Amino acid sequence: MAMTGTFARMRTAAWLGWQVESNWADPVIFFIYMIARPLAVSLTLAAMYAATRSTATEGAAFAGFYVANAFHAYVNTMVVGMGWAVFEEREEFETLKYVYVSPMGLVTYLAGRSFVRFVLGSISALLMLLVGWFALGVRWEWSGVQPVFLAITMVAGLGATLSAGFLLSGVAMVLTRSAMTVLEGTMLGLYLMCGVIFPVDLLPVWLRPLSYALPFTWWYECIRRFLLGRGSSAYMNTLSDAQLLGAMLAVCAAFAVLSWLVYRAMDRLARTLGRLDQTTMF
Amino acid sequence: MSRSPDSSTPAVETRGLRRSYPGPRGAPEVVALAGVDLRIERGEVFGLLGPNGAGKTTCIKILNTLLFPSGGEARVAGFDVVREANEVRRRIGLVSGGENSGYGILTVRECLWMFSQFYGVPSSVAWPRIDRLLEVTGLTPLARTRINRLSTGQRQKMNFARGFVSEPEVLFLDEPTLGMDVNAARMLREFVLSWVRERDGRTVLLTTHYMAEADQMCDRIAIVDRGRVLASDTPAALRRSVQGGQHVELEVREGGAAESGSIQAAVGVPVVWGAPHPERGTRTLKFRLPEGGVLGDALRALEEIGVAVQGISTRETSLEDAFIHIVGRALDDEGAE
Repeated sequence: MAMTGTFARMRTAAWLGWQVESNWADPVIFFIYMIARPLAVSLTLAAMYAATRSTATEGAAFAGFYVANAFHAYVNTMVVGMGWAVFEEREEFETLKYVYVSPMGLVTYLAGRSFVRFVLGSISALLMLLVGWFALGVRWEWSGVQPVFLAITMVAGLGATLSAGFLLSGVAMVLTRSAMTVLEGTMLGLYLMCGVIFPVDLLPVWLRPLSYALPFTWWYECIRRFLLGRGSSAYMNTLSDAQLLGAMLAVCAAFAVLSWLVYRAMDRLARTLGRLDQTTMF
Repeated sequence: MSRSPDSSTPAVETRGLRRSYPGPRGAPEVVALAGVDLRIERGEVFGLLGPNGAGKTTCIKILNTLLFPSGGEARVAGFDVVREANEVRRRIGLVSGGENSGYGILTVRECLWMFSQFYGVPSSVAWPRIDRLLEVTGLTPLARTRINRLSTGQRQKMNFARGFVSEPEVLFLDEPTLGMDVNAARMLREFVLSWVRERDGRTVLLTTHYMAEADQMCDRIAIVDRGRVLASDTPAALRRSVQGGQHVELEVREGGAAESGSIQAAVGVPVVWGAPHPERGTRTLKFRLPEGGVLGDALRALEEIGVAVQGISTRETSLEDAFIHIVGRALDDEGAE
């Protein structure tokens, strides 16, 4: 009964999320924007690939980074979206306190809002993969795909994305003016640190442990391994499929626990500092 | 699973509730609540009356689980606001006046429905309730208007309606009529009173700095200032607590020989000069008769020292008189902080 109520409330939050996401433009412009964004990313990556092709980058390596970029859409939309939701609710709509004191609670609300972002991220990732397959030669052998490992990878990776969303939402609860800077800085950091655009091996040696501590580094490597059949990191290539999957699950689980603890701590800090109804920017 | 509270518990109870904020750049901490004790019974309309900065909104925020107290204890519907926040949230509603909040992309009706869903109200119950609230607040013609097209006053009415969609056990109204026009404020005050009377055990905690609003609406009032409850009783009892009898205002001819000192000696109580009336050549003289004092005696004493009285008016002690007596200054005085 309680579960049904939670799902109903989450559905309402998702409905609100859809209104917020889609209502800024008329449906035609929104649809064009939905297609144009992943298309632009695909073309940018193709241009980068063309510029470096003659020197170092091989086609297979490009496919690996292209696929990672496609799935990075989830991180871009869900993680930033959840942090932004807190910021927007407090500063622009001035409704955060009413959501917070409702029995639904902020966790259910954010989970509902993130669902819309998940759908938008899925559309973006799918479009990128289609453009890659048909226009840029980013293809894989269906016989080489490991569906079970890939399915587990996707569930764990999306779970890590949701965890990161809660972590940043918690931080956004406490921060005021600097919240947006932190959100954007985090996204840039994740893009550079997690092997999305270049192999982790190219990071300075002292930075690599941090990269390996992030679940997205392992998520993208697992996708490359279980979808394309080839990873990008020299160290991770020494691991068997099972070891790689196990390592990813362990990092994702640890990250989820850490994110939840940080979220709870930030929630308490926000109530201590009285930040839940503070408006500072608008 | 929602727990059942003991219905004999008070709707709101605080004991030694304290809250302080760090001062800016090493300055001493700012004390917003300095040990507040309140007990509000179920079914009451209870008012927190005090100047800006008295601690009313801080108290409301703590009771609504938005803010942790620095010390003391607070319970709503029998549940601790710190340790049992989820139980508290199932039972409360909040309306803050003077705000511009709302999702601009939703219509008024959609926004109210959405909040009803956040509280788990079935749509079949929520829609008729929403329509009734739109009617009460005069927003029916704007039901399908987007919130970003509403005026500030209309948004406030919508937010007022939002507080009632879940039919909460304890409703917190924080300056609910702030900035509203006179007619709308009166209508909403009447609605709150009928809402409480028609529903068994519903409680309203109202903060306001409108004397008339507190006097008209509240069963009991706590007068707060600088984070402390200075007095708490029914409006009538608070008025009675002011020692003395009638308030007298005399219009006396200007230019008489008598000075304030001799006038004061004649009537036997402190007097205050009010506004002059140059067109009539008179000025207002105010004083409060002592307990058991007779106005006729005071008038005769004034006549004997040459004060010419042109007009007389009297009134009973108001809540404002009680407030000034208890707090030591008027509600809108400078220095109220």
